[in-house]
Amino acid sequence: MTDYLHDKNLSWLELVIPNDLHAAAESERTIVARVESHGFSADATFAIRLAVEEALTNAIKHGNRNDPSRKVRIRYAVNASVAVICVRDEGPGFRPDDVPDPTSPDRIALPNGRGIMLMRAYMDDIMYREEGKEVVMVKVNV
Amino acid sequence: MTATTPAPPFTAQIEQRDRLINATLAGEATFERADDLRDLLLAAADRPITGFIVDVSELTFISSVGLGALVAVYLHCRGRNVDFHVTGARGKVLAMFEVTKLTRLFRVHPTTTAAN
Repeated sequence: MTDYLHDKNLSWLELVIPNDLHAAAESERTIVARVESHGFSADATFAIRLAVEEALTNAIKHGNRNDPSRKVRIRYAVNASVAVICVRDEGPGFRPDDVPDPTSPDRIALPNGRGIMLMRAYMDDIMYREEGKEVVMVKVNV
Repeated sequence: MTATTPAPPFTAQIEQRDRLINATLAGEATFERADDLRDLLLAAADRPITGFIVDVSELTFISSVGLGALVAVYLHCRGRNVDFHVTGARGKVLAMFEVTKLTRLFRVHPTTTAAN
């Protein structure tokens, strides 16, 4: 992954939200509006929205385990070339490599477990940091 | 936080004809609405029916929790020997079913009439 986290040409914004879906939805709309204002295509905007929703769902439900005392921290930087979004929870972390493939025959009928796969499929790059507590997602505007 | 335009409303309309349920979803099935979606469809699937069709032709967004709600309804139908179909899948929504390979789990039709 290109080291966007230390790219001096990017201007970062931050949202710290309560651990609930309503606040997450508002954050998602804020990021999507920012992406749209920088001329990202409809397909790229859809991908970013989906990935942000998946990351926030994971942070709230799995990372923070629906604990209302915990927060979710979102940092994002968008310009005409790239969108970088970081979502961090206050949970214990996890090992992404241990997450099973949700499309395997023994897991395809499970209602849960598709979030990370969708993030990987729709974004150009994703990376986990801080023992899985933070996900960094990148979408290049082409 | 920057003020933004609210998302288009999500709606789910349930119709029953004889022993067939037709559930028409429209708008954005976001994570805020997934539990409502699952509960509504599961309640409909509990009726004495033989077929359950979910029309997604007017659906503009769905994430993993919405897909999970559909999987839960599919499993419920399968357990009751009820045929389960998704119709009208196109564009980005169809791609979601394909990427997740849910097209291997239940029948996903491109048109709204194919399953009737």
